[in-house]
Amino acid sequence: MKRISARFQLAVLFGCFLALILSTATANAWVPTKPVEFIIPAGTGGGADVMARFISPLIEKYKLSPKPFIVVNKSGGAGAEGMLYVKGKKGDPNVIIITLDNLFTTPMATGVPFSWKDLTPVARLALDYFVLWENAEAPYKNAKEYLAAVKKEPGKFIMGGTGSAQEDQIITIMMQQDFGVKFSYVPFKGGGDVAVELVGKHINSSVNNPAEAVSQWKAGRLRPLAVIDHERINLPDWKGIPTMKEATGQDMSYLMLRGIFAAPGITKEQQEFYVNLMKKVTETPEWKKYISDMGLKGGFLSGPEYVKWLEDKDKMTKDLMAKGGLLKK
Amino acid sequence: MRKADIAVALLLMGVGILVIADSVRLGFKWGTNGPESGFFPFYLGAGLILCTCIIVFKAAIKLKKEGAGARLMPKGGLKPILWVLVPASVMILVTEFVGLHIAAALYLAFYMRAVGKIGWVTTLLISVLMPVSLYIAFDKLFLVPLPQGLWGAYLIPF
Amino acid sequence: MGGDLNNLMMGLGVALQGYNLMIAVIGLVLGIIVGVLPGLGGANGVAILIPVVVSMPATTGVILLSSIYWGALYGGSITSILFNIPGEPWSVATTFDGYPMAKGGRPGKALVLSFLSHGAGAFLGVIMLTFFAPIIAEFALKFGPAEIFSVMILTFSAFVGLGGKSPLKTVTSILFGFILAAVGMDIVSGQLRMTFGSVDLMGGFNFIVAVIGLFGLGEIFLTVEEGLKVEGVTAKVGLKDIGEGVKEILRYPKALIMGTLIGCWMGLKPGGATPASFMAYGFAKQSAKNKVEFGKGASNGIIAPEAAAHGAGTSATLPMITLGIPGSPTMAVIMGGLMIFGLQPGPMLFKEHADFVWGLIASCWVGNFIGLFLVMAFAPIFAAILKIRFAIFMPIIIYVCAIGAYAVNNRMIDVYYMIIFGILGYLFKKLDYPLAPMVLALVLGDMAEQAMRQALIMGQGNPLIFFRPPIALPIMVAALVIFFWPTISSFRKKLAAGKAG
Repeated sequence: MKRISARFQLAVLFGCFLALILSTATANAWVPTKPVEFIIPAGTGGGADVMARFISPLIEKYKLSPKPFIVVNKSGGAGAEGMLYVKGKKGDPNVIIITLDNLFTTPMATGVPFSWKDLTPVARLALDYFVLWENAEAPYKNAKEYLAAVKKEPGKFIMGGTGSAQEDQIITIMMQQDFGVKFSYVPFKGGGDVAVELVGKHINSSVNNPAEAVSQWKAGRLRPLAVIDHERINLPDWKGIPTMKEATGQDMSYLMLRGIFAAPGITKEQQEFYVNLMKKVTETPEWKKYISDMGLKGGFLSGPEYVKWLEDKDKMTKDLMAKGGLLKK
Repeated sequence: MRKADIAVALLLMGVGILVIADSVRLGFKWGTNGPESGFFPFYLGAGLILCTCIIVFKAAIKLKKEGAGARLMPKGGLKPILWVLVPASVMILVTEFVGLHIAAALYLAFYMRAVGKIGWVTTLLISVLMPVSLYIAFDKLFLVPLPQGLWGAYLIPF
Repeated sequence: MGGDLNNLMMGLGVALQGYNLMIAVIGLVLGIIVGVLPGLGGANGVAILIPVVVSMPATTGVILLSSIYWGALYGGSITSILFNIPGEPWSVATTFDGYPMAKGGRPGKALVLSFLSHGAGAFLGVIMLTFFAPIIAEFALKFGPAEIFSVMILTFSAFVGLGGKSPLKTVTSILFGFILAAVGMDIVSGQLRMTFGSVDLMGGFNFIVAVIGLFGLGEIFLTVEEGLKVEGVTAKVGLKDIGEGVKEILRYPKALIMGTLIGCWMGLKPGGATPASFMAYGFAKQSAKNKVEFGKGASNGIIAPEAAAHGAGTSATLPMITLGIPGSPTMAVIMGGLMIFGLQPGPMLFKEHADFVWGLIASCWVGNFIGLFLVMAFAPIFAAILKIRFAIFMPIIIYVCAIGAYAVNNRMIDVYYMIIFGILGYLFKKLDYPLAPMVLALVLGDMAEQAMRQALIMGQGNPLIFFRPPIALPIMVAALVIFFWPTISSFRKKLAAGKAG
């Protein structure tokens, strides 16, 4: 057994060497040598899942990679399973992961031994907005009136959100601190569920992403009160929603990362390949339409700027979670 | 049978104890907004311990009064079970090294030949064709990558 | 209503075009295949084809995707019946009576019964979908966490008395199921429970993995111990079986209608198909005259859960079209597909893309109809598998089970769990711990606890929220009555006896 394996390893080494020579001879760039595992640290049907399943056929359509990208869900432990899986694939260039803010929140809330610094950053594809929503039949016409009503009866108003100690709850805590109000926060499994609970009037408000609630809004069942960012959403349908500051006088911003990471310890060329690939993806007309349909904020970022942005975001998230008492003790 | 009964109940009791230990860590009280994380597990664990205690107690009394009772498995029943269980477990262990399809090919060949006494031709045919077709179906067509093990990627390079 | 009919005809016109019809058949065959293989589900089949679908016209693309879904619904029960291994979560309840019937020498009848019930469930479901979609969707909106919890309690109470000989062991088995369900992330508090720092435990115990082990492997162990008695089952399926299947269905209209209604109703909520099939089985047994036959191959024990599963599968398309939430993982992936076409699922779909929606609804009619004929045609082939020598098909089954266990979550640890559950299944069966309640607890445990705690936060800790009118209260009362029915009826008997004496 041992001898065979040694021989195999030799053969493989030789093969790699040959491949190296060949690849440097033909072109300088590295390309995947086998199907790329595209990990989603979330279940089927969520924002990250839909995005990954949108990107992977795009790559095929535009022949951006010689090998297909295979989407694999690893959602256990609020995404910790997927993150730890990629962390464990040290030096394997054929694995990438799409991340959302649970990249920061899950390790902080659960104490799972993981940090985004364990992975190789590839690119930020886009940012996701949050909007304060209420049922269209609610008597409050704007965010100011709603928050005033919440202030009057602390704990009576129910804020629904996705998961516990994740972005929706963090935003709720921000809101409580900025406005001196108190919500009862109820966690649900996914953003779509939250929107439906709001339509069914089981909760009073939500901070759904635009994509999660857009359909109910257009059908006249939900009402957007304010965008939780410094600026309005610069898309035709969304321009009419005021920012938090315009609606209440109090500035507030929280944006969620939609980014790509690769396994740790891969080479510069390999990282470069994925950066270029993702850049090309974000330049396709399909992607541009997708961004506007889903109400996302475009904003491709890679290299040192991306790392810098991640560091800031990490710090901010930690601060907010500490204030809300969500950090693992 | 009664001894096995006691053993399984004790095993479940052990699970119950583990559960209770972790529930206490999580907090098992009824908080201001309903139960805490460990509330249900705590009572589930407690219930499990209680039930298994009674099962053990009852079985122990019967064991003392009436002896061990009927056998868990009929005479000679263990051997065929082990003949299924052991090769299957070995297949899974081997999967860690050479990947599932190769391990399964070896397993199919071994079981059919050594246990089933199937002819060589049939054995070889099935143990090659089956993994190949499932490999094509899952890994290639449905793009569900199955475990490759440590060396599987080198053994099936296409 | 007249407008609906017009629209439906228009949709049917689209779905019945030669090209679309061919696409539907391809999708159905593929769907049946992924449905048969444990661990592979409609979601996989759909996800694979999304890249292909992008290049098609939207309606054709969605016909292909939904045909896979219908095929998978049909295919899931085949392995439940033949090998006691459910291909899909909602076919677990089918094993309770389907497998005993097949083992008793009637695999053809069991398969035909299952397919016909699926067809009937689909038919009723599609009628509801076609004509009452908006009303049903509004009704579904009334279900908050408190109502969901009451439904869970109702399901559990339907299962009372479904255990084995010893009540003590039934309770133990339920508790154990709940404990397994609790392992992993607790979404209400965001804490990891009972993982003891292990990454492998973080993902919890998957229900399908447990079932493959408990039912599938456990059964294999029992079989070899008895000395390979599986051989000798004559597995001929003829026209006689079909006739008999139809007759049996007509004999138990109650099971069929009850199953379909439960299915259509439960399917509206995400993940509803599995509890629906269990609930239908429980109620069919509770209300049946032939209670003793249940678990030994009762026809109505197959009809009810199968009709429920397909009814739920059909009505799961409803929330996607009308509310924009997927009723099942497969629907979630199909929804992703819609977005590639630039169609935003949800209430606006009906208004903005009526032609598309009606094309989809029409494909439900066509797909389910053709699907029924396809599986019926396949039935003899499937039944013939049982004629293969045990020493050949047994290792192949273990191989396929290992693939299934792995593919559920792409985790190697699940394959080990499968073996452990297999041993556990064998021991439990031998020692009279009933498996069905344990599996039920494992499926519903998480959902029930979540719903309960969500409702309690909403009610600020007051448990009275579970009895709030108009929906939770009657369901809860019904659940309690059913739960205590044995006590009540024996009390009444005593009372009557006392009076007489």
